[in-house]
Amino acid sequence: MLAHDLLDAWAHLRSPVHRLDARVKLVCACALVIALLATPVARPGLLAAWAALLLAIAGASQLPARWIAGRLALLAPFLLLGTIALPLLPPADAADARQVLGLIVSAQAALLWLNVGGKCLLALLAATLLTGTTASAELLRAAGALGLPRTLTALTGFALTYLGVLGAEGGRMIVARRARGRVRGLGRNLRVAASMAATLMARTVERGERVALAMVARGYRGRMPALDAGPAPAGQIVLGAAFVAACAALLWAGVRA
Amino acid sequence: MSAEPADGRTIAQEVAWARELSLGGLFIALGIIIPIGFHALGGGRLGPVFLPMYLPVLVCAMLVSPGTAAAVGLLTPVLSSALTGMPPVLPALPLMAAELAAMGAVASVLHRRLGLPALLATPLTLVVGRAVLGLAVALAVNLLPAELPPPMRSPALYLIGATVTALPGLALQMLAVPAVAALAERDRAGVASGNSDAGT
Amino acid sequence: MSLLEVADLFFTWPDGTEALRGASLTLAAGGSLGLIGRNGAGKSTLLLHLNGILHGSGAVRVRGRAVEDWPADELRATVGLVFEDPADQLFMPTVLEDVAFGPLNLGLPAEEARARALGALRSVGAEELAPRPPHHLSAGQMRRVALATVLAMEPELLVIDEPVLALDPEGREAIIALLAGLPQAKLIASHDLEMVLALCGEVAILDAGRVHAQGPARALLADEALLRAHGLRVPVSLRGG
Repeated sequence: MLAHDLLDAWAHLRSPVHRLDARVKLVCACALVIALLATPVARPGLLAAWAALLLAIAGASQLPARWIAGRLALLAPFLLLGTIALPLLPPADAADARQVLGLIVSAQAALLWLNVGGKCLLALLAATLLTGTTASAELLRAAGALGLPRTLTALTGFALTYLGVLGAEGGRMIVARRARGRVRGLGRNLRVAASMAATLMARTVERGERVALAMVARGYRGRMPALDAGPAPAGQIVLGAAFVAACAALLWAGVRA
Repeated sequence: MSAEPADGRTIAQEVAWARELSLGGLFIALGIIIPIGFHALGGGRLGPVFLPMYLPVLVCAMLVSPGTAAAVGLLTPVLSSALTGMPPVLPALPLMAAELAAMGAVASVLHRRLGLPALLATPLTLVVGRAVLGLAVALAVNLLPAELPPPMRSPALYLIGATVTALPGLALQMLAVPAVAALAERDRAGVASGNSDAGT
Repeated sequence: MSLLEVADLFFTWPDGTEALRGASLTLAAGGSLGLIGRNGAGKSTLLLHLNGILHGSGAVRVRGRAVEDWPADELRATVGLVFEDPADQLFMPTVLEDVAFGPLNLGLPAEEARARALGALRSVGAEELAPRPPHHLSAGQMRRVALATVLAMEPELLVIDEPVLALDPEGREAIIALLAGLPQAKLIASHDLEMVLALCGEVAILDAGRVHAQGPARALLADEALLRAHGLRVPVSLRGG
């Protein structure tokens, strides 16, 4: 269902990106996203450069374009809403105004929206490429190895592990409800959604109890244990460092241009 | 009716620690799933107005320690954003993460450390949440004035606007969270069985 | 001296439900005991007392020593508990990490824990599942892996709650064959009386928190009056003779 498509759907491929060590990938992805988010509003060209870089990586990853597009499409409502709202923002002055398709649009606002929308889209693309080419378990281990506190890694691990199970439970409730006929009206829909959420939460508390018992039954004493992976290959570390440096350089050059 | 347990630290304590992790992790997953469910049922209308992600975060906060609750508040929007694109990385994600993390910690402290009933703790938490949101926006405005759209340039106005939009959601939280928390805490007595028969 | 001895066990839940009212049973080393009873009899509750998770009044003795006197780690390594829903027991990102969880908690170094985990997976025929996320598996596969998570701790006693619940006939047969081949002593709680008949030498009937009879499986499971009195039915293979 949901979880299977989101996580590990294409992690089994053997592209060059897939075969990189998870820790290297994570560092590079973070560097890229940070540089991306640091891109000033006045530099749409730099944004285009990040887009080109990400598209190149996407190509190398051999991930199906349809799958990537499907993941990015989740942002479509947000992007659409923002774009439609653009003409509603009045231009600051005459110099700021532009004519687009017969409507008066503030150039400043448009530039800003391009920046914000573009960053969201590209950040999601980066996250999609990372999660698409790396098994979620490995990604988690990589985060732990790179310094994420154990509690956070453990919590995230549980969340990802049970995403499928809980999603399926929720899905079954929705299907069962729909089998009883369409729900009409916002108020009724809200009540149905809220009561389903409540049931799901109560059941999840019970499940949380059972999982805790299972943990204790296998000796859990307050600290999550970990199997360790070996060190990353030296060549990949060098590659990763070069990539991070390149991102920094690109950002600097783009800002200075 | 309990005999003395073995080994210094009690089994109950170990189960309690394990429970922090299991509940925290499971509810983060719910924080990703429930908004999707709201969307599936009501189209785009139920989501933004009713803040469905806040529900599991607040309920969880009533059941775990403040540290875990804060972590749940932080991780839920981050993971949700990475997996589903919502909330968008800018501008919503950092603001929501700050608000939810703060609310998680506050709700847990109020309900579990100070013993306030959920009915009282919830509205107080929501107020604190709005305050944190306002602070976060003010901070953002001072740090990156050029990056923000005009409506956000006045933190006070933005906060009022966001709160008015979210009023139905806040109302929902105030009704739903104490109810579910009560249900959940009652269920804690029936630990063992997978079905609702206590002690099969 | 029996491997497991439960004597006069009483337990009441915090909300007042009396789950166990003087339950008693014994299990010899290497033996296999089926714990049967209607819904609400107290089976799952009783199982939780065997590795020290719950504490009632009365005695639970493993290898002659009271459960309270066992160091927690040793007890959990000796008495392995397999829960009813495998999804509740598989909480790590990969199968290998799940199976290694127990040994790591017992203090084994990573390499040894990994070796034990692979060995346990091999013994349930699931070695190739090691790198997979546990919830992407079929029901039968999850049950095998759940069993492996406990076997990796090298227990003397396997306590299993509903081992073949919700499995298709092929999966059920496979798990039964697997369990039959394991050398450890087994205590199996189940509604599946055919399976209990196939796997257990003895049977104990639990009803309303007390064990009303313990004896040879074939004999007790053929006793229609006894079974009916406690909400059970004679398994099909023993009927009409």
